[in-house]
Amino acid sequence: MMRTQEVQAPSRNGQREAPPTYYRYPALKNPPWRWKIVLYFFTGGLASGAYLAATLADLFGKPEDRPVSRVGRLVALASLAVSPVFLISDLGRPERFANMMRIFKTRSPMSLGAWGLAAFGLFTGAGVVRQAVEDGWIGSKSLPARLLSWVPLTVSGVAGTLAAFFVGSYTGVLIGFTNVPLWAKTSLLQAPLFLTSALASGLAAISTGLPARGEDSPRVHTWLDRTERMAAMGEVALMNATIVHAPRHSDVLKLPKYMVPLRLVPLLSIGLPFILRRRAKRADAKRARMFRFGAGLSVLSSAFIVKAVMVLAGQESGKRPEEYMKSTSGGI
Amino acid sequence: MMSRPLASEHPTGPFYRTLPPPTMHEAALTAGVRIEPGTTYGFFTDTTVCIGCKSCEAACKQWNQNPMDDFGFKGTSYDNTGELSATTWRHVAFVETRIDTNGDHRRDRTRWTFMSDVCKHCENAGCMEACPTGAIIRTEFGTVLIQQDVCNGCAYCVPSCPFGVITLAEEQDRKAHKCTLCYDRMKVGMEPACAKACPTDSIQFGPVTELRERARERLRFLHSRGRREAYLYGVPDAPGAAGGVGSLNCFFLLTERPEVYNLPPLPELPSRRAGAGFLTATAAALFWGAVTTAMILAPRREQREGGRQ
Repeated sequence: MMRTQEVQAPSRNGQREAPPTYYRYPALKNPPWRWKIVLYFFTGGLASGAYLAATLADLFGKPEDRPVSRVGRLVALASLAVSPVFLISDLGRPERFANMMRIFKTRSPMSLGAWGLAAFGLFTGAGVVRQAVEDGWIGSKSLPARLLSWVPLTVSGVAGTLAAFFVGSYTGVLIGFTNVPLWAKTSLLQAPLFLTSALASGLAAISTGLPARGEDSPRVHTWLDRTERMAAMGEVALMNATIVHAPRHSDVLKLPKYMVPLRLVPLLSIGLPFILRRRAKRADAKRARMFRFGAGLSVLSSAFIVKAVMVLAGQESGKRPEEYMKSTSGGI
Repeated sequence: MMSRPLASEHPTGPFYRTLPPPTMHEAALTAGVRIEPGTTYGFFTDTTVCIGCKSCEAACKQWNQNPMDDFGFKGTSYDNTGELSATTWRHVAFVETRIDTNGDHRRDRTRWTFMSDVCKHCENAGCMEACPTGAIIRTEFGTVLIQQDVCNGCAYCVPSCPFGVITLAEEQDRKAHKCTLCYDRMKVGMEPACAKACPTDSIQFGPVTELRERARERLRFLHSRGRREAYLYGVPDAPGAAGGVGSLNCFFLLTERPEVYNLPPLPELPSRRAGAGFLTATAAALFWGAVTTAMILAPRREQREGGRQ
């Protein structure tokens, strides 16, 4: 589907037929971003979603929500411990990661992301220290506890929440801030999609972790599951909007290797968890734990699929010169 | 005979900038320009006189000591270089145009259109905006340069270039590379290697404002001789200079549609999408923050049921 604008006049010898693009060689270069970046996006999103649920539960929750904060903070710490490892090891020169910290550049989402991730790491650490003090793992007279006692929970919680929202969504802005047809032309949808799937995965990880520590109560699961279901529905809606909007500029998502996993997302993020959690309510404690574990895993895998497909399909659309030429003929 | 100090003897320190550069203004003899900091330099590549000799490719490789590419046949045309890459900073495209003679196929011919492609050194460079380390800078000659001692190979510049120029050298040092407009040569008053090597002056080097005048003059001449299909790509208010990219310091005189050379007709600067992207991100954050808080504060079903019991 090429632009059919003809600018050249017929030559003296008759009609000239120029090829549509340069032998269909890619007109754009792709970044060598593969599984490490997918895993970075996924674990970063998981950390931000878990931190958000934990902190909001701490700020607005009831005493019975304490375990949510504890598990959420630990999930955030664990995934944020591995997330930068994927990011840094994917750099061409990992030993030069610190060069990202030599400037603060509002023009570059990657620079903002590096600083946002650092800030979020700080707040996640602070959250874990606060939890450790509450749980008596470290003494309330110890240095980190005393340092933290100077900062009210509302201040660190609100600032941390902002950082978490940023880390969960900036990756979507980042891929939209390129010329890759699929990413650029669905750029308005990507940040909400990434944030929504981050929230769903964070909530799923918490409700999976709660029974493992034997700290869950049906009341807590009520709001966790409800919020998670809403986030999952939002994720599916935004994903479908992407599937509907993308073909105006890029047909890559129609390839079975991307479309089949995407078609599984509603099932994995809404259908299967809904069935499993209903069964968990009626089952005995041990089987309920298994069902909840399965439901959590299902939501996590759907969030992973969304990020993997968006990253990998985008790279494929960048290899198609005709789609790039079409996508640059104006309008988002 | 004037002797130039060796790099090791060259003065460094706070007063270095006050010293005149060790230049001999060779470009005044080869391109008719003295290279002075503060002026914006670029290339005017006139494809109507390119003969596809690839001298520019060879000169660029040699001066910049770039390794050779895969020495194979592409099977599509006589162009076996294919594209610009981290190790190929000039690339001559061989566009084969079939000339159809209205049914008399014995007289059908193929004609070549050549085009020596290069980094455009955009007025607003996507790669430079994307770079998170500040490795990519605007030099005193108005060119876009990657500081190799700063680049950490994050590859974000790669998809941010609307022309597919900047590339990561995955098999070499895993850093981003592209045309430097021979920064090292310009520093000592020499014309870039490709322009100096070009035997037909298809590649012309000079201050961009002067080159644009020369290009418009050339276009007027071609139009007057009946080559109405000729147009400029990358000068203000022309194809290539669109979507926030601004004008291109390295611009072209073309005779086919831009797509034929793999050039986007209306390139877009990616940063144009960042504001709207962060706006939708903020909207989503507000929405999900409100939803989660509402769910935490909402009365809980089990509680109500428990109350009834």
